[in-house]
Amino acid sequence: MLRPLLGLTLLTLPVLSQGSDARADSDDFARDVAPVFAEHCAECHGGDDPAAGYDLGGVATPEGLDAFDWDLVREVVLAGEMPPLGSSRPDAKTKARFVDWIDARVPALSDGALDPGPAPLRRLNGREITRALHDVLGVELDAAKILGPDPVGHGFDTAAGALALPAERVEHMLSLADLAATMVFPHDDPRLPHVQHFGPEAFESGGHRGDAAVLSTTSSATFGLWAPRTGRYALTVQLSASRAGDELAKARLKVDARRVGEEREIEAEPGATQTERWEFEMEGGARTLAVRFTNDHYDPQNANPKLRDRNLFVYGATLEGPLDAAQESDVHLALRTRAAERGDASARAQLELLGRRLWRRPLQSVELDRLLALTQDADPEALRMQVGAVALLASPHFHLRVEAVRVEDVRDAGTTRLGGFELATRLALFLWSSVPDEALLDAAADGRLDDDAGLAAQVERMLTDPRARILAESFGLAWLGVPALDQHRPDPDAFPGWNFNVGRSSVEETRRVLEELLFEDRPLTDLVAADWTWVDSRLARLYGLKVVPRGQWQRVSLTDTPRRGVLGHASLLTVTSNPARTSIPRRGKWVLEALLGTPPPDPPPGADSLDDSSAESGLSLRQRLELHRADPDCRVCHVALDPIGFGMEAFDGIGRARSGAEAEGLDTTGELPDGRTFAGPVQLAEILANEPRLPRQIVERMLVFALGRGIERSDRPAIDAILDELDPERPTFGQALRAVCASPLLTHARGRTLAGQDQDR
Amino acid sequence: MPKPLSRRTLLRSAGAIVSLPYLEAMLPKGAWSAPAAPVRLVWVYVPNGVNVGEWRYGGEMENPRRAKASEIQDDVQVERELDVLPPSLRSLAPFRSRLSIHQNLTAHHARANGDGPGDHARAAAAWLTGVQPLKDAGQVQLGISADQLAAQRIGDATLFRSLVLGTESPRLSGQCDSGYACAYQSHLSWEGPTTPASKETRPSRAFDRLFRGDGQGLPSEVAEDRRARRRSVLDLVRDDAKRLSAQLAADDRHRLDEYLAGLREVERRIDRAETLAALGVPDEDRPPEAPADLGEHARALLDVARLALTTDATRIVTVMLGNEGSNRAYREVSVNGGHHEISHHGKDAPKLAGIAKIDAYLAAQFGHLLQGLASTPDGETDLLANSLVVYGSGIEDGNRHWHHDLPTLVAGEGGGARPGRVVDHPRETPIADLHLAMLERAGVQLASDESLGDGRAPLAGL
Repeated sequence: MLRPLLGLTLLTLPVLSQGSDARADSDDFARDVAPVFAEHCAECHGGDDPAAGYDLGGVATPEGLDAFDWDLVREVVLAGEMPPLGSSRPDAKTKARFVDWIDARVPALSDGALDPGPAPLRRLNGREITRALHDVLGVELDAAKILGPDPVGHGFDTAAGALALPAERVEHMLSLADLAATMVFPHDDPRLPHVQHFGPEAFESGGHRGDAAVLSTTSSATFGLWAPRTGRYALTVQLSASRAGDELAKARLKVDARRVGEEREIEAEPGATQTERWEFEMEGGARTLAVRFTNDHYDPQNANPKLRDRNLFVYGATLEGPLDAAQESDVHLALRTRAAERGDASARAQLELLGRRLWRRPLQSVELDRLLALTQDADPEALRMQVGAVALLASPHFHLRVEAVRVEDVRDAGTTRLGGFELATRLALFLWSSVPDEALLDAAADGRLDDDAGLAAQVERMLTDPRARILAESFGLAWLGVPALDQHRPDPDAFPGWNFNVGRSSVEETRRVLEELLFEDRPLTDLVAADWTWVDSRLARLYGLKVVPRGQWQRVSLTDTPRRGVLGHASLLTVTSNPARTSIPRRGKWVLEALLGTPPPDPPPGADSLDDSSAESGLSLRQRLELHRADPDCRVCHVALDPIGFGMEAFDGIGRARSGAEAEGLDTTGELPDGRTFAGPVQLAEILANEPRLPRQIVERMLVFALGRGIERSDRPAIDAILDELDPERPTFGQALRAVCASPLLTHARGRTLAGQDQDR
Repeated sequence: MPKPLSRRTLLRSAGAIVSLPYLEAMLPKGAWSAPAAPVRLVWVYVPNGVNVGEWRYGGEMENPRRAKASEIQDDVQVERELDVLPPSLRSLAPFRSRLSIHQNLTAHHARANGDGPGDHARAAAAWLTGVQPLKDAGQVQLGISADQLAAQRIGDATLFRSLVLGTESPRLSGQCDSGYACAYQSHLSWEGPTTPASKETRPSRAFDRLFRGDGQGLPSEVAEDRRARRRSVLDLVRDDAKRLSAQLAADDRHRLDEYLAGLREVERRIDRAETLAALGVPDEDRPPEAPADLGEHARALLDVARLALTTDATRIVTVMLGNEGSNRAYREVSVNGGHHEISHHGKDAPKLAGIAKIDAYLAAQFGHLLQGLASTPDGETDLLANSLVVYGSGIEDGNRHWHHDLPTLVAGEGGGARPGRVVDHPRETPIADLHLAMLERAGVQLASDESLGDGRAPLAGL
């Protein structure tokens, strides 16, 4: 949906050119448009208090609405939302002429010049940082866990306007830089003790007795320590235990609540001690260790006073480590080797290589000098590299995507093709959720991204690289709103068939289907009409399909079922439901918003949810919704929402097909605002598959995700051009991805490219 | 100079786990000058409004509609003794004399005011800022919130300017409330118009950030090396940010400004770590990694909040007990419908009963915080006596999305507050006036032309 961006002057420019066709335009306007406003709109959108503030009765000339509002009018009329059902509606021919007039006018408004739209500066999100750290440094860290979740805008975590940089995040960015750099360039400070002792006083526990911490209930003795770096450690603990019941006391070790190693039985009784040794991997930094007593027992009646109370005694612990010597990482070795091949194996040369990957462009020599100045007193080389990597990773040049220097007035900015490195970053963030690899940077450096053929070749390479598979998640699942399932818990009484594993499987089904759609060049219509899907044993059971062996995923046919496309996926059917029941309007709203990009109009102020009086009236849900729709205020939305929702009522709140008593009286027929009818979800899927909005919506969502901004009116010509690139007989996801990557919306920007960025080529 | 006592030492010598608040003895001389008993500010938010009949003092609202301007009488303010707690607040009975119910406070900018639907996004956005959020799916524009204003003005006295916690993560994808960007529903605290403050949902991580500082327990020369290195990295990165900023157009510079503000805060903390008293909290107080249910989660977060206040790690805390519009089911109290779903109760008795159960459950978690503060000694008295703790929602009745007569409690005697009363404010009194009163009592100085959103003057009758 188009929404105005604050302060964007292009939208507020006078929209109609003065010229020789002005007269013809206004003749057409008088014939095709003005009568429609007068006959079909002005009753509500007119007079002293026009509905929604739109006085269409008062629009006497083409200049009476600005371009944005023309667009809005076009959208709602085309979608059949306006005029609402039951009011006086234009016939199909009149409507077509009306829309054609707007279509003819709209391209004229941008006066033919290419406008790639704004290129907002945005910060990288957690997924991109995680994958960049993996791809460049070979470290596995979940950046989102360290930095915190990313705010969502336009449905994605790539929206520049939403991705803020609160102070706490900057703090965590520095910690993450430290953590990653010490992992890839480990160095053991000889001043750090290799062995740390912890006496009983170091333990926090229920109590202390003499020289021991005593655990008299099922509980833990915990102590904090500082692990110099990630590595292998050994903890030896002196223990004893008093006895009761028929088993020995058991102790286990936890590191930050993660259980490590085996549970131990403690035979030594107080007076003696037993030494237990655990060896484990531990992340560097502040850690909390806990010796846990797992099987407390109390038997006060036992004849033998020595067998009445089972307690665990912890006398002390010794941590040794890191046990493994700090080893040069493969990444460091590779950096040095590559630097040496280029004739200089110095830390400077290595940091130059590393910086080019992390900052996605060559470092200027002044930037390198400053990095080197930072590291000069560090010794040995691993520490120098570590300090340099921290600075590279903490820098705004790593965390921000800066594409173009904008001048204050966009009208003066002009339009340029993005520099090779800027384009490489755009592509890598879009297709890989990561930074460019060496090959892409080389292509940028050689100018191979400056022409369409070179660009296409890189896009082809990138799409066949396994890294592109992330699109099924980063773009696909997010687009459909599936990640919100994390925060949704179906009610176990209403839906005993659901559990966490079913939920996880349902997400994986959708991910696999999206992966196939995107990378097996499936037609766009398969999104809603596919008669196949991927299931594991859990989903096969949920869907009532042939048994699938445990732990396997199979591609199965759905031809004999009412399930088609993503509308039949348990993930979506669950996430669009309430915890204990389905929500008909919400499912309808999801289809309109996510799949068609035509969210229902806003309910009028004061509009209520289901009317109070109907709740206790004993009416069926359909009857109540119909009553609700009888209110003209409510009808305008619900006439679009409810039929779709009813079509999806074939499935319950976790995506199981309703059957038996549940299916009795189930009515999954519906009539859409434009009068088309369907019976059941299969026919609904066919209608949606043929919606002309579908391909446009798919392309627009790809663009929103890739550009990190909403769709602007100025984008329309370029979007039309992308749609023209698709095979009219069989438009596919693969075609759409490639056409998006080749579009000037991707390759160009308003304004100049970043000054000085390419000077080191 | 004698080495300042660490709290840990004190805790140990006390022989038991008692919480010790701000003590002059623990401060190195001249570290900062602070009033003898600093006022702690806490805001606790609950989403989706309440079952008014069970929550409001005196039961059902007398006049449920929004007051017209002509009906508002500014000079009327009625106070009564809080003699009996409404049913949903019964669990707070031990603190009846230490809290007040404030009625008729309004979040005007949570209303549509021409922006159409999206009451949940607006309710959370406007509650602590008094500002109408920009309606846009991909861009946020609001204003600084009361807690962050306090953090910026008086937060320098503590190692952490403020603490922002919540039980629910922001929504991770998809469309949020009616065309608003997702941040509004999940963030009360805003550092500035475009910067929602980070909100920590994991109690153990919040604990580690506060009490397991970087390099703790390292030999001092190693720790000093680390600090020096961290400082030079900060210098370099700040330089990067400044150079970059100079190349950008004005509308992109605010991200770099955020970056620089974040770097300054990190630097401040490195500096302060040497002068502010070392924080020590027993490892045993580290909360569980994965709380079992909402109650345990909420209590663990509130415990971290209490520990932070107790140790003077911060004096300003904001906690969201659920994102606005949250649709989670409260199986903990046998409410199976989604919270948002049933908040549109349509006067349906079972739904109203469900909401009342949720209200009582959430109030009980708040009681856990009050209990913790009341049992923590602070100087001559207890911590609650030096705190102002707000508990409330940006929606009154979820069914109609009303934003007037918001459910609002204020507990504690901080800054000389006199609780134990029911105060009926003039209709349409901005809730921002309450925040202004809290800021005033905590010593936050506002310039004469400065305010908080639609706040007019500090609320009378606190």
